[in-house]
Amino acid sequence: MIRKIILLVVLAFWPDVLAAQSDTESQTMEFTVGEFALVEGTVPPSTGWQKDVNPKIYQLGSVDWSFGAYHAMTGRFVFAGEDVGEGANALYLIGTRNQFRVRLNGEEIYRNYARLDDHKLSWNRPHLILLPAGAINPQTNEIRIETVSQEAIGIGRVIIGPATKLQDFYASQFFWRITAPAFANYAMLLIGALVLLYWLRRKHETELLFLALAAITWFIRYHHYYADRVPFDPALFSYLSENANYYGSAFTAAFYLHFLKFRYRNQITTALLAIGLVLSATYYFNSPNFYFFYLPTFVITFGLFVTAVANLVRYRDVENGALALAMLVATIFGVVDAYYGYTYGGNGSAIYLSVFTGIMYALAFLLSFGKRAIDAFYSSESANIVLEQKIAETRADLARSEADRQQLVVETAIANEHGRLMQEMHDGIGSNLITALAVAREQHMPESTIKTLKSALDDLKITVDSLEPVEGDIIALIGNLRHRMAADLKHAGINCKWEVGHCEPLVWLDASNALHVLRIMQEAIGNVLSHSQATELTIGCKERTQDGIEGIESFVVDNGHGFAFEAANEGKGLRNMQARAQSLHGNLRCISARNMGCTITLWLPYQRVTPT
Amino acid sequence: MIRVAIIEDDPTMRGLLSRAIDDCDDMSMIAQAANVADATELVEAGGYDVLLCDLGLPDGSGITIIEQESATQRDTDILVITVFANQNKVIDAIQAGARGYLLKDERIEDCVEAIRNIRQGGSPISPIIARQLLGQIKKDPEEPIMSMESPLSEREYEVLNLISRGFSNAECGELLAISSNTVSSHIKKIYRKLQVNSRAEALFEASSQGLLRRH
Repeated sequence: MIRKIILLVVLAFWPDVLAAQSDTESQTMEFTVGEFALVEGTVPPSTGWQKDVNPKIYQLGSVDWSFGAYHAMTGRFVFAGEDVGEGANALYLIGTRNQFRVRLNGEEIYRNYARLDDHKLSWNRPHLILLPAGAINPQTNEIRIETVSQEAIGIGRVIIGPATKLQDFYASQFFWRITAPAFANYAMLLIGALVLLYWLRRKHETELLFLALAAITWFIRYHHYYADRVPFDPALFSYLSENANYYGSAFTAAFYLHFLKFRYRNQITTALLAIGLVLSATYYFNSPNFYFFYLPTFVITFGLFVTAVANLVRYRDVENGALALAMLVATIFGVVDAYYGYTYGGNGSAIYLSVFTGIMYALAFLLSFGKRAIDAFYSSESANIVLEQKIAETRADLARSEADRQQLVVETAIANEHGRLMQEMHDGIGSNLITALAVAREQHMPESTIKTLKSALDDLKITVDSLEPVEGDIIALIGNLRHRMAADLKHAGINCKWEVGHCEPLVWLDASNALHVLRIMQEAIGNVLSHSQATELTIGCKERTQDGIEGIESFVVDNGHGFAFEAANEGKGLRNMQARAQSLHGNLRCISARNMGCTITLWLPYQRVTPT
Repeated sequence: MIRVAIIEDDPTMRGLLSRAIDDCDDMSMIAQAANVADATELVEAGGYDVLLCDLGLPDGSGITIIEQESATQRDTDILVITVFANQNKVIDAIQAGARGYLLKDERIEDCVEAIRNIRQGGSPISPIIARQLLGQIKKDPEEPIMSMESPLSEREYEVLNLISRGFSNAECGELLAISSNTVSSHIKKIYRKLQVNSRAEALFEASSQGLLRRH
């Protein structure tokens, strides 16, 4: 779409050069010969005519004077009244330089200056001069163009014809020579200024500095194409314009190499600027012709084109495509303009294209740079998202670790207290009971004393075991009890079997619940030891589902004589066990009959359901 | 003849044990101490095969004595004398170099048997202690047994696992088709590895904290 629009614009304003030339036969007429006189000073001559072809331009470098010396020149063109139409006629001039006035049959009809030292820049500026009605004689008419200049001097193309016809031609010429270059150049200067401001905030991005310098330098280079007059000293202005041709290319190359992060970018930039200084000095002291800078500029431009094509082949994306296109067009423009310069010698026959090179570079670079910037924004946005996620995760981790820390503080406090109590029980009560038991045994005290002391010690051991951290592992807990009682069982001549199945941990089994479990099992095993006269005892646990609730069943089974629950002692023991089972949210069963042994089971649920 | 030394601050207990040992034909009590200070001299003097050591001594911890004895690298078996055989005490002692424990209220003949047993290469263990050791081995699931300084063998791991599930030494032996003596000798080896690993760990921590310097 954009391409189509550009194409339409170009077609609409395409210069009508060829049409103008062919039209001279019919209605418009171009003066290709004239009489000329040239003198030093500021007074245009009116004698000493020499017939010659027109346009007639004296370029600096091809004449024996240099910048600053005034010269005046007059051109005479004669035509018959019948050669022009009867309607409104006009005169079209291009390439006449610099301060000039036009006389028709002796009467001044136009001048482009107020003072002779106005330093007008008319070499590329078309002029349309409407001829006053009735000023053309039916017979011979004379047009004189009197021009004064401090540099190159000459008379460019001179065309006479119907005002309407020439007006259209003039409009398109003015657009492509003045309006479009001025617009492009000021746009580029604006871009350069903005980039420079941007660079001041981001000084580490050297390529931005070079882009700004390139834009500003190209502006200086092309300002004289469309400007009406030289803004300051003409010699300095000219010197800057010519130098800018080289430096514009050099800064463009510097930008492009930095943009590509080319390995030798700094060396090449330094070399280009060093060469530039040598060229500038040579130009300053020797004043060669203005082609002096063209060759090195062209070498740089062509080098950039090759680099751009290489990158396009390598990356095949829009920005490298745009850059390659800009470099290609710049190269073509350079060649075409060199050809025009050689062919026409600046007589106004050709429209110069290089004036659009700078803005093309600037736009292509901006496109690439913008693409890069947008990519960077996207990646920084996504980096922000990632960062935010990381922060959120870190916060969650921090909260978790803080919770863990608090938990650890609590656990450490409990563990310390636990340790202190254990120490107390071990070194205090425990040791005293041990000593008492040892003394009682040694002194052959009554069996009931020994038994009481031993049972107190066993109770203490069970309390200690209930405090051991087993993380709900009921097998280890009951296994430990069985391990503790193994010696007593062996002493009583009871063969103990251990049967365990797979059991998951009981998550609710804390120290107080563990103590209940151990007391129930201790009581059950104790009963077997004291009353059953059993020879076989099976202890163990396995998973069992009761009323649809999954849980673990621990059991103590003996082959003793059994009991019928009528004995008061047994009834009391059993009631205690039942009460403990209830507080565990479990279920205690006792199956026994005389001479049938006894089976005590304790079922505990995996998940405790709080009664509603 | 098994030469036994005892470190115990309770004179009744000390007397009881020393008499029981002297009564045995194959054992003799050769040295006694009641505190850390005397025990240090006792360890320096040496000359015993089995060292019975209480942990709660009036002037310090029995762990110090166990470490001193281990540092001599003599072929001594150290048994901790304890009331409850609670896991943190026993495991600390084992990491310091003990190879088993005696329960203070054990029948005296069982105590004597335990001394003989340790000398023959067997150690006692309770399910809760076994469970705790397994937990220590599995503490870091990314770096299992193999990465330890002295990793447990497959068999030792099986023994520890069965004991932690409440099986007695004899039952373990049946399940693994080995004798119960072999089971208790596996336990002794496990204790030794526990000590080696804990020492390696301590060395690692010490060097990583810059406490040890290589010259």
